[in-house]
Amino acid sequence: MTTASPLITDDDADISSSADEAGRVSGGKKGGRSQFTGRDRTVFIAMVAIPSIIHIAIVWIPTFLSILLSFTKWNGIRFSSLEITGVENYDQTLLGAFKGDTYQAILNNFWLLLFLFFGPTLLGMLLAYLLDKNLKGTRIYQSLFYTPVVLSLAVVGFIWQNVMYDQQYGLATVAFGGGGTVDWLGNQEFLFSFGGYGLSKNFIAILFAMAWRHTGYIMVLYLAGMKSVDAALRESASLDGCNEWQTFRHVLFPTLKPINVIVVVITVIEALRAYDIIAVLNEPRNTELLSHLTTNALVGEGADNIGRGSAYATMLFLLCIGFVLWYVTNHYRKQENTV
Amino acid sequence: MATPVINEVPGDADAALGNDGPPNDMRKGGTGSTTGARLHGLLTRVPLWFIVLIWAIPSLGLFINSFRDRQAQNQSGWWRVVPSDLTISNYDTVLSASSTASMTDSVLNSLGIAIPATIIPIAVAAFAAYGFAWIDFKGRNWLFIATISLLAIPLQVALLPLLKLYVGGAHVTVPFTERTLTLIPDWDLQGSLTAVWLTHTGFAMPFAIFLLHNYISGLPRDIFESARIDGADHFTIFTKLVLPLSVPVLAAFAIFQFLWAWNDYLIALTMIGSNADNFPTTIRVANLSGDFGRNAFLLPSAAFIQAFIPLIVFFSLQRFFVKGLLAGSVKG
Repeated sequence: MTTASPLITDDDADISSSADEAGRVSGGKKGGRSQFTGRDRTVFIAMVAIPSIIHIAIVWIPTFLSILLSFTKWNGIRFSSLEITGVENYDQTLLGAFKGDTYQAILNNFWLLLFLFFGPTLLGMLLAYLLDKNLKGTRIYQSLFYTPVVLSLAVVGFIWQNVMYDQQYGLATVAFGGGGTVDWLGNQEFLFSFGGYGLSKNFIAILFAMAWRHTGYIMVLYLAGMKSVDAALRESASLDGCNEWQTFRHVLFPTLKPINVIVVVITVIEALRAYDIIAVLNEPRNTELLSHLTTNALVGEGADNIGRGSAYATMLFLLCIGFVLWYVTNHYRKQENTV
Repeated sequence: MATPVINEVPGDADAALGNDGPPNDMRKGGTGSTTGARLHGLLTRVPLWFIVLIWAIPSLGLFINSFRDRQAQNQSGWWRVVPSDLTISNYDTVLSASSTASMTDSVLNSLGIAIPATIIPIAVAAFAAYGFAWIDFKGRNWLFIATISLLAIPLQVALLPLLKLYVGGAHVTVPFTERTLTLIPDWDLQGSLTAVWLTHTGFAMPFAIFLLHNYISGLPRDIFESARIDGADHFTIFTKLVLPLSVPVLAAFAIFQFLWAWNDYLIALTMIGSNADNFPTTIRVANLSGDFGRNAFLLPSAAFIQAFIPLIVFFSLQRFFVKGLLAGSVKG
């Protein structure tokens, strides 16, 4: 596991065997700021301040302003037209006229996350396992799986629209359409639904296109992890009479744990930031994610109330921050315990 | 507490690509010729072949269609291709400077976005990652959590205030007076490439710091301690020790970020708006689908041009990508 241990912290100061040396190293509280040389101080401030300023100016402050704007009604042009309306935007988006869109979008975000975790992640792990066996042609197979990873999701959308989902000449149409035309991306019917919300068929079509790219990504990561497992370890496992599943379960899988961390982070980033592929396909009905509602309400055609878009942005923010805070506290607390 | 050994990274880079990695369990049974082993090998291969085939189809279909003219594309599926159909006229059209769909300038624009959007976050975040990992200072944990917690934040969350900032700078009117303070002047960034790469830089910072911190915090403590005892200051330690040791993870992040910035559609769409001179490749490609599909037959060739540079970057540097992304996270 990674350790985020500074050279010395208040906690481990006294257990450190060479506390005075370490104190000099850290220039931290115990040793006093005086331990910094003049150049050290300048460098240190620059080191941490520059990225923090960029980050605060470009992300934190605008995010904070978005949250404030979500309690207003504003046409986005003159500040004089801004009125404070309290929770009206939330009322509209969660309980009122826009609630249908809102809940379907949040549900779609949820489907996407669930799908990416179970579809591409498991398939990617399986592929990595198969390719790890060094079969003939592994290198070519790998390249094939890597190719979609490199493509823009916008391009992935067009590829599937053009090659697979073309209403007349798409491969999926010919293979499963029974000789007729199929509007894969326009079919907004729900596969299953509850209370008017559900999983629409065109969203499933888009999920497949996304899986095409995401699986390779996951495979790259797991394959590298599996390659790092000591061959002797497997050898002894098979000598001890482990079958293939047992070897995977008890020898390979435990060593892949750290990779799961990276996979989770990348998958959540992809799921929450997803926008491009659905946007270039003109956002078929019932496939919108929260990111589309936000963008359209803020800068789309006929965007007349910045406040509503900001309310969506705030929801998106809460979804993201919720996950990451959970992750960060878990991940780094565990590390501190191991120090 | 793991006391990691430097570069105790997933195997070695070549092995990670499976080229000349150590022979694994199958090798043993593969040459042996019991029926069971052969059947077993087949059970592995057949599903793999099947998946490989499915995976190859979309790219293959697009590649074929990129060489078929409008009429051919509109009349039959791409698998019905006959050699006499093939033409490079689509590529001619999308590359010619006069055409409205010209990809040539947009490739330069994409480079103008992706290169600064890659170099600046790395330069800045590597410094910060070292600071967060190895220098104890007041508020360190809070600042670190504040940074990392934005790991998954999408652009939309900050979109509108950011746009307003780029359009007019930031001004505050002091209450009860007529005075207006200019916090950030109007640099007229709206629609510029600067607005795009600056945004990428801000949003890339958390992941950059997260990834680099993972790695740099795992470097052995001893080397820093002895360097300090020898009188090295932080700047020297950073440039002489941390940077050289961090090459794999820096390279991995560079590739990741370059691909991200090159392939981005959303940030370019919202920040560049209608300023056609600055359209990157993704916007150009996407615009081909407009106009009621009049130019849709050019999409496959334009998409290939769009993907050309990332394909080259990735396939020439993939060993670094895999090695570095997992660096610091895999320690046996």
